Amino acid sequence: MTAIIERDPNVSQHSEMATDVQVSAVIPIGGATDHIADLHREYRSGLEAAVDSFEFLYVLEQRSPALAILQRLQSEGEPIKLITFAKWHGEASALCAGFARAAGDVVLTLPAEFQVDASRIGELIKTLDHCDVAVGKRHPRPRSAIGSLQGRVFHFFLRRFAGAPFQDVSCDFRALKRDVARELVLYGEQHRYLPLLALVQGFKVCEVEVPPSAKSRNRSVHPVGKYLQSMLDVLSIVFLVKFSRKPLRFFGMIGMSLFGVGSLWTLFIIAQRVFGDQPLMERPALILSVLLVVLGIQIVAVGLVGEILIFTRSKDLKEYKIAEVIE
Amino acid sequence: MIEAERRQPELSIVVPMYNEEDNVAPLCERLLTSLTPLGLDYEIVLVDDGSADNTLRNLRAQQQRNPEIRVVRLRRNYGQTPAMAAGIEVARGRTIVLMDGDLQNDPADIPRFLEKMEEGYDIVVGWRQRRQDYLFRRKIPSWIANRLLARITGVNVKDTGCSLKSFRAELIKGLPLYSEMHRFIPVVASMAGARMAQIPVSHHARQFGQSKYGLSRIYKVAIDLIVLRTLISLAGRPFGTLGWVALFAAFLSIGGFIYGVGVATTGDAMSSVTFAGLSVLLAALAMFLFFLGLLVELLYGADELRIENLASLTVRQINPKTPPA
Repeated sequence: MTAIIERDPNVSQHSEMATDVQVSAVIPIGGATDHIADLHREYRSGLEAAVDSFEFLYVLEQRSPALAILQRLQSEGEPIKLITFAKWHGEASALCAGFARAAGDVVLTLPAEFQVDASRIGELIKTLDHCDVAVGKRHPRPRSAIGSLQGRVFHFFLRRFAGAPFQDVSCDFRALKRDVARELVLYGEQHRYLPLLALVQGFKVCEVEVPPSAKSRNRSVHPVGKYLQSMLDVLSIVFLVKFSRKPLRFFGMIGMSLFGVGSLWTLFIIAQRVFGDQPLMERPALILSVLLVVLGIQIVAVGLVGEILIFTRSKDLKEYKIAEVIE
Repeated sequence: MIEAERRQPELSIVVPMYNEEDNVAPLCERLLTSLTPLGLDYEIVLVDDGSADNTLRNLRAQQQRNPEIRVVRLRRNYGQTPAMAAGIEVARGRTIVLMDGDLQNDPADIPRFLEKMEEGYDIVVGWRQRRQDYLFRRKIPSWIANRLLARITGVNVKDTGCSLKSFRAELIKGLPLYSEMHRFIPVVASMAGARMAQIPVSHHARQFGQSKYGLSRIYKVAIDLIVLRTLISLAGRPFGTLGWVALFAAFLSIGGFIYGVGVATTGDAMSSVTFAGLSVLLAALAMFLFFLGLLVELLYGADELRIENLASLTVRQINPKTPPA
């Protein structure tokens, strides 16, 4: 599915050093980008100011027009690795492909657009001294009133229901320790919530204030539907992380409450029939109460199937990662 | 040569530790004083479950001084069961002893576990005498839980909460151990047909650090019990069990339908609508459970881990070993 296009090792002297790269910058290119060469230079000078050795991993579609530009940069001796997909599978899988091939101790994810001031890369990397993931927080952020209100509401819900105290979770300017990057499995739209995913998995995440890039264009306001979609995404992440090894704790809670309410109600109606002489035919409520019982049983049964799935596969689904064995 | 000897020691002690900085040194000392006189080859596997305090530093210090100690550092805090699973994965001994890192268990009991194992048991479970804990918050809930567990699973474990246990290594390495399953290791092992013994052990009050348990686990344990019960009854005949519930629902549905039609012919149309509605709902439930049963059959059937395979963990060769040539 993916292919790495690396430079001819005979031509370059950099490939020898590939083993002790300090920082790998992963840049997924999903859409059209005509300014990629400028962007690369900007990131490059930011990295040069911060660390001695680094590499760039651009992840893009085979057909992308940026490929030719990057290949030209590569042949000019830039430390670039190109990872191409035959078909674009989304930013999440692009990031994972990049993470898997990153050689540096620190992995950066950088947006393929002018989003933040690239000279702050050093600051971002330094933050990793006391945490596992450092995320940029755009500030000051020039946005319309509606845009910033929507963002605030979204982050309020994030704080309230996911317990994540982020102020700009979707900023693409991030630094991760390599182990963390390797451990995160992203799919679908989860790249947007990478800091949340890292946080709920027990890693320490810090936000670093970064000014927006001078060249950043004013971006349009997202429609409300997009924020609702994001809520669902966040819910699914919290569900996955909290209940993936114990599905019945989730399904059971919902199913058993439905079952409980339904059976009490049914009993009540039957009691009214037996003792109160109230004929059942006048009670469409009976159908509703039995429906609750049926739904309850079904939801619990689905949870149980989930548990069986986990039980029978528990040997493959290791929950823990051993960092080291000291002996 | 030492390497070769250490490859398969007789005994591994696995202790998960989470924020137990003050307990590290006394625990190691007590373990060493009670194990060294036994004169057997052993190792102590201490698992640091992503502690936030100085646990890891203290563990490293102990490891420096004692070659028997191996320290497993987990990448972050995963919880007690995953920490145990990690320690068990790393352990190389033929017998594995599990215990808590909070000094409530007494390492002096370990030799008696080994004696029992010698008698041919696969698993030996401790049973705390004169428990030193809060009555209402700890002892009474756990008494109820133990009775319930015995009733529901059919395996009589006197003290599920006691962490001091010993196992044949092949057995424990083959058992599913995830989420908070550590409480039910004896039950799952017995499902597989393991020979289990229970012996009384002494119990001390916690000296240092905080207990990591609270009353919130009642719901969790109750749910886990339902899961376990289901796993046990489904493992033998996956489709059969759900099929019975489906049949029951189908029976009710047909009954409701016949009654509804019967009422309709006598002229009571309203009542017949109610019964027909009920009948349809129950039929839907029956269908759902029927197909779910097939799905479960598929899950068990397509997988390695069926109850017969669990049972193979307790297979043992009784023939005497062939004498070395």
